[in-house]
Amino acid sequence: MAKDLRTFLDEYEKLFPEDVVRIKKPLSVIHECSAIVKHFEDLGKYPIIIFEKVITSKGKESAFPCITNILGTRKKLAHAIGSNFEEVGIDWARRAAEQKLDPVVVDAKDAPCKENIILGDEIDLFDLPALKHHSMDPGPYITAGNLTCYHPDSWIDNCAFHRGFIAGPRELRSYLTPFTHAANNLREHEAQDKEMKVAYWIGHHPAFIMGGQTRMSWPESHYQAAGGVAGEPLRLVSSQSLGKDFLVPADAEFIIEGIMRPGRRELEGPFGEYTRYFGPQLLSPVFEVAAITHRNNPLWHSFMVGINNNYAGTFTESTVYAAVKKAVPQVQRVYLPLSGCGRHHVYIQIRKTAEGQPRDAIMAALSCCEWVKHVIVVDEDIDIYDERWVMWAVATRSQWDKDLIVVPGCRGSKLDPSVETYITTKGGIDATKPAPPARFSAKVAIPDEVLDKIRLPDFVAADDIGRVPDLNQR
Amino acid sequence: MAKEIWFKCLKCSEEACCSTELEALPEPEVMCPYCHHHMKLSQARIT
Repeated sequence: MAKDLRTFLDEYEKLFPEDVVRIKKPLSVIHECSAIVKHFEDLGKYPIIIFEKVITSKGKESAFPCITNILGTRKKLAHAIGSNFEEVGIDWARRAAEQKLDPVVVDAKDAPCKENIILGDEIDLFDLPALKHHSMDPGPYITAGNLTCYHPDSWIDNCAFHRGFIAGPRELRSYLTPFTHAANNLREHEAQDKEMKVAYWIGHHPAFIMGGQTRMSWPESHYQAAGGVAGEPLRLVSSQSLGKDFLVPADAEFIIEGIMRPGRRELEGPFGEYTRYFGPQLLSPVFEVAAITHRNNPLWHSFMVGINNNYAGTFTESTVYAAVKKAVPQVQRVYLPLSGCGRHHVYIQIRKTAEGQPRDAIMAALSCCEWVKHVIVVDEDIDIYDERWVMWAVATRSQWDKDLIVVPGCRGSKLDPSVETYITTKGGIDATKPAPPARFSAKVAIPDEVLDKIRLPDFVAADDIGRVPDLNQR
Repeated sequence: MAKEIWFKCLKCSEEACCSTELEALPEPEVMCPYCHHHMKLSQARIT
């Protein structure tokens, strides 16, 4: 059986039933589903959530449930591709680059995404359980849609998440960030005065979604990378309305097909972005919808932008790791925490053997990706996945008159609200101890054999341990 | 920072923001994200 969203969900729920939550009470797409996700985030939890009864913006119960947080944690990403917590980002990139698999094309009769076909005036995007996430969003958005288009000359596919505002029953407005490959493809089409054929594929096995999201050169096939990341070829099928050579994933839950006409732009946004701020309203390409196809009993996938951005940072770790590894082979781990929106903070753990290595690591990391803004380098005794200890290292192992690097005038993220255009100031902190053989203050410690012998559950009941308030509980 | 322009809807009085990129257009319009009313930015602008 080919991998799809259902095979992933079935397997994951059997293994980790505590990490899958089904909400059976009706909830509106207007902010209410988002509120549930936000409440979980406030608890520090990101379970897969299935909203079984979703009330659309038309006030009617959608025929389709909505699922979110599929990409919500490193554990889920790692499980999806058979990796582990620490190495998932590196494995993701390695497979996308080195283990590419050509997709296979199947007949429409073998493509579940063709089980239901909606064409022309029968299309009403407002029937979908697309969510209006935040207060200033102008309406429901497609957020977990892999927007697929092709380079007009090479006809090489490109996939990426691009938000899509549902502006009318058959009208989407999709924000194509200027530096992205989809934007490049649109510019190429417009230079030739051609309309660009586009499709969103929504709901698939997360390994294929991750493959589709891989940062690559342009033009370069994301469908091949998706197969590499998933470990099996992506099954494709000819589109319903865009011609035989426009291929879409056969096992996706939903396919939305259409065109972008040259030069046509309409107002889109504001939209609650990954920065946790609203990105401003601007003019975005109009996606005129020609067909929707979907599986029987499909699951609509929504990505909670602005609440959880683990997936993007996890892939970027591999980019940073590769760059730093060339400069400082002693690099151990790289992590882009959620506190930096999964993009702007980078923690680097090195096994320091010589002075200068932390600065080399900082410069390599800062220059390898426009998203990287702040870098903190720590020693190998610091758990970079736990910010308490990263900040402890900053507090006790850095002196900013000599351990701080500031680099103004760099290319950064346009959506970072602290920059005026996209030019940003980057920086790094060396929070490492002096290199050996120099001695440094000794950390306090309780002997390991005592910690192993004196275990909390032997002295305090598990329920009582659970009742003790967390550090910052008010 | 000046990357956003704030405007107030002439119909529902809610405030929202648009990109400064719109300023490059002659007589740019904005859309209220709350009531979807379209209006000239110059008439609704507050920053």
